[in-house]
Amino acid sequence: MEIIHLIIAPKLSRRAMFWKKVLKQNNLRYLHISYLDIIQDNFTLDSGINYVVRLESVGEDFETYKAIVSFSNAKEKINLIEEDVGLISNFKNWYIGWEKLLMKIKNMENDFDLIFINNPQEIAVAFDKKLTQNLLIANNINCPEVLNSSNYDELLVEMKAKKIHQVFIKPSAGSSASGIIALRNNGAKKQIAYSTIKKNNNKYYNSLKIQVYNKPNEIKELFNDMNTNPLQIERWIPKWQFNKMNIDFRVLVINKKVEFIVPRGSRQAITNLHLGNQKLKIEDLNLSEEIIKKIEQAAIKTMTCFPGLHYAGIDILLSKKGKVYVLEVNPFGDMLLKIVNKKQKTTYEQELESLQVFI
Amino acid sequence: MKEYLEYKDYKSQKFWEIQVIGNQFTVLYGKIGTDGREQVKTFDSEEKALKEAKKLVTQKIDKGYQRKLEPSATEYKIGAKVDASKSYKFFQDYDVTDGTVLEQLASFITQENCDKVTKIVIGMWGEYDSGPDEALDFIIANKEKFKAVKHFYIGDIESEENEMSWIIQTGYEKFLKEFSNIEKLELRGGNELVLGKFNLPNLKQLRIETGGMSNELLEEIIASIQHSKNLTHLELWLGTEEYGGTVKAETVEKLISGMDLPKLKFLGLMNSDIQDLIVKLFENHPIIDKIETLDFSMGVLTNKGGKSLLANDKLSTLKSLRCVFNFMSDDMIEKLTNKFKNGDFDRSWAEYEEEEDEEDRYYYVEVGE
Repeated sequence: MEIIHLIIAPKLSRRAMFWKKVLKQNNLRYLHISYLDIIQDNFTLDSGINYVVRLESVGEDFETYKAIVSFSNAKEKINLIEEDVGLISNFKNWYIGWEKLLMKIKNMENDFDLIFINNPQEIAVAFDKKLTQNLLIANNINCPEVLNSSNYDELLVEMKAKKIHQVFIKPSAGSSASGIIALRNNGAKKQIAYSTIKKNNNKYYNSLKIQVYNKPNEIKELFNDMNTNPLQIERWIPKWQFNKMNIDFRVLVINKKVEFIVPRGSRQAITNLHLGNQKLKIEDLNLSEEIIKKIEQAAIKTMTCFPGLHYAGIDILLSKKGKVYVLEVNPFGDMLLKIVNKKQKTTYEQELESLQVFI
Repeated sequence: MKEYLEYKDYKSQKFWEIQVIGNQFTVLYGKIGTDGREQVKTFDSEEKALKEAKKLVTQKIDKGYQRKLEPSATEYKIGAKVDASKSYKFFQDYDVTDGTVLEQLASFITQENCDKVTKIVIGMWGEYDSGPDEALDFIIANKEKFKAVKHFYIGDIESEENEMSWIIQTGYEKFLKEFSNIEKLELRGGNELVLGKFNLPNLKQLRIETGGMSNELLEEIIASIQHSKNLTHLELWLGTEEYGGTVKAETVEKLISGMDLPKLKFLGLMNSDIQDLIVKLFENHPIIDKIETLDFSMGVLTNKGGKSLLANDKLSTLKSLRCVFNFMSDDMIEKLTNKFKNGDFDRSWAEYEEEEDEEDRYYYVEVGE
């Protein structure tokens, strides 16, 4: 049967462009349809063709975002007429719509011959930080301790009781550090929070510069406003430092093999690269082979919990005493630009090569 | 002479080390984390070797390399053998699976050669609301085991572990009496920090990093530092009022005018919310003739301070004038850079926003939190 690569991504997706480039270089046929097309049933596929399907991030595209939130059939009316760049998403409704959309894509299997590189069902799980963490913990994978409080005052009490000084608060369905708060608690009156959230005209935006909040009331308000979405609260484990930078690791596993490890260095608590932090080279960090092996093993073990993901970027934390924790699983976490692996391949080239298992 | 420098940017992480022994120097350079490559050069005399080495160091600093005081200490693990040539750091992880600082120290003193170790670092000691008292008391009670220590760093607590401005310190009067022969003392955290009267004749380096230093502490330093005739490096992070900083400009004036430290080369009065006032105190001040490096980095240094610097011709006689992290305008930085070839006015991650009203702007010191 004839094979065509099917890319499902926003029309202007940079990630889709990188994948197309690699397909072109290898003289492979492809077809690009957008999430909007799928929501509106505006596409044609042929039976009698084998489609190798790659889903890409829906990010950075307002029309897609709007369509996904509407697709959730949320009862509350959301005012989404114009794009308000950087406005923090309605994570809850977005996730409902996103999960529904992923299931719709999954069900296209009933009508066509589709081979998913990353299975939409498992993408949905990975996008839910709570589900992911439960799955990992059930498989004895080391994750930061989870806190269960459902409001701010309760959280401060829980932190005190558990002797946890500092936590990360994340929207369970968020990504790219959007909506994240790093909170420290030192007694009743002393709290400090670092966040990518910036308030402007009573609305919350994603800020590229980390904001500092040190007034207890302000922090409480921020928490409460974020708490309208499901939150994942976990212990903030101090990261290992190199050259005065806090380090964590994006480990890209492709077909059960660790192909890329990118240490990210930051002066701040939040290490995502788009926040002006640095990509480093693992060989420059002077880490022992034992530790690198532990990082690789944790990433591989994590992927065994997601057998339907052919590739994913796993975020791993190394504590100051060399312990390894899995933080997140990113099914679209492969856009590592200007980086090649030992075989001199980019992430996209390596992913294509590893597709042999499918085709 | 020995210097260790590092260079870091988006692309590379390099180190460069030079050591002069007799009429020879050895340069070791390479990527951080590797052993690096070595180069040896021989000269006619020791003076020539030293002169050339110093020239190279200046060149490297001009290229963006930064002086690093020392490579970092080895984390001590309970039961580990002690290597007398290493420095050791004691700190506890959040889950204390590797023991408390006290348990680590207790294991350390049972090891052979522990009494030959020359540098001890104490890091995170546990709760946010307690100081390093237990660790210090333990060290005092077992002082024979620490008799070779020339360098203490108490409070090496990183930003991932606690806010610098929340670190609780303690009184060091007794500790400094017991270890009056030390050569280097580094402390981080200003809350409850008391030095009292101290007499440290061999002290070469004193560094105190705070998010807010009390005026009383600075007075204590002024009263006792004159005993430390060997001091070459004095570095004080003064911090902000918001975090308990109460240092007054006149107390700083008292420090610099009353100082009689013949060997002092490096003076850092930094990370201050009154950085402009501090800079002004140095306007053609005789202390500049006696030292090599002045460091005004990390504070709220604005165009006001920039003007004082520009008017201060004496500063060009320094080997190095550091003002890294500042809130001066591009124009001011350009003028300063042209005037002071020995200066570093890198704004770092501080932000100068031209359009805002001068009065409304909110400035911050680099390490406050």
